[in-house]
Amino acid sequence: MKHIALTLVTAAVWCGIADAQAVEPIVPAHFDKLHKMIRVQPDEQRFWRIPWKLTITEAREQAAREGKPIFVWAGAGGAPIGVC
Amino acid sequence: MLQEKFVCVALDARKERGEYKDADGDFVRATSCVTVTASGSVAVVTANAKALGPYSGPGVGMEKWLYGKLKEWDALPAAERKPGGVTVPKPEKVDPKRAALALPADALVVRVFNRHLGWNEDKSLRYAVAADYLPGTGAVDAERYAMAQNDFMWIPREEWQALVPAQPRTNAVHPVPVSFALRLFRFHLDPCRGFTEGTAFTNSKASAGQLTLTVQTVTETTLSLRLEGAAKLEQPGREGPATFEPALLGFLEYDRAQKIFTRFDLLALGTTVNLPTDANGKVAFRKTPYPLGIAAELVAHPTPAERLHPRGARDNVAAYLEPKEKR
Repeated sequence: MKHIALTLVTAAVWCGIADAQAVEPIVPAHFDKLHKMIRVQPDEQRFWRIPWKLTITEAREQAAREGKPIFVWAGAGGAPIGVC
Repeated sequence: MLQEKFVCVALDARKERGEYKDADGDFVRATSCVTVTASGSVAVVTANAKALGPYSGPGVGMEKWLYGKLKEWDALPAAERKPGGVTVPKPEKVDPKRAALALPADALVVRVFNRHLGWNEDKSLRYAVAADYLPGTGAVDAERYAMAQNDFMWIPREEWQALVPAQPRTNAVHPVPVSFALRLFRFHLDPCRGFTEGTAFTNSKASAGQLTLTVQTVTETTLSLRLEGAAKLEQPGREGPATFEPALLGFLEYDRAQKIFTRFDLLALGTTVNLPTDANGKVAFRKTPYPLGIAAELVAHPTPAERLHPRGARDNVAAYLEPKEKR
């Protein structure tokens, strides 16, 4: 019985791996082109050009030092520059 | 204008308003500078906690609104506006929940981009277009959906050190640490990123995929590794099983003298079905199988903004940093 159970567990793990291997692999020669295609492009996510702070304390300190107001951008599920 | 005239801060509205019991949370509540709303909120405040007002409405009016805020700023007493005119007290304590989301010492920061793609007739890949999305999707929304979406990956020191073979030999193949595979499968191969607050495949096991590291070249000072493999991620869904089946390929370079990674480029590419879903579990944005690409790259010297915690760490930092197999 123990042998059968072990065989089933082994088979299940192997099936998972075999299925995963069935996915068409990425050709290494295509890597750079695909990586560049998927990464952010120069005209996307322009808000990342802004040097965001992530805490009010940091923002207040810089604003006081430089004599500037503070622009606050908030998201319900996290800082909107990334956590969504 | 924002870069020149303002100091900009990006916040989690829900946590700042309702969870964090510290000076920053108190400041946010006192000035009402965040609103918990799915579309996000903006506001302008001063270092000494004066609220110059929130903004609501379409983004096209924001520039005019910002000029208005600068006028209000200019109307404040000169002593409050001059550089160094305001003293900001050092916070006595930081809420432990906020502190837990700080970048761990010596953790590797990797920036992760998700991008919806489409297939040409010959099955070659192309950028997504409006026609790929649900009928009625406007051009502006489609353009936003087709952009790269942003997340960060944190790899704790012990784990990235474990990626480096102790005695590397060219062409030797090594398994990746289980925790690294789990972090990828549960948090970073997620078609929901950038689209909804929801998450996919967070119960994945290490057996959902296979990843190996092959030593490509090794010298006294450098080590090049190739990461490759595949994953088959699946979870039940209201409209049928939700899946993402990517192949993975990556190129890592390690400086053996300085003991740091100098390259950490990863790519995951595959077909996804029935994701993302909306808050009710209904498949949203795209109904048919489509190609999804995920690209990651090392952030060698993170700016303050690039120290933003990963989405996967938002609700349970320990489960993100030390993912363990579930029974």
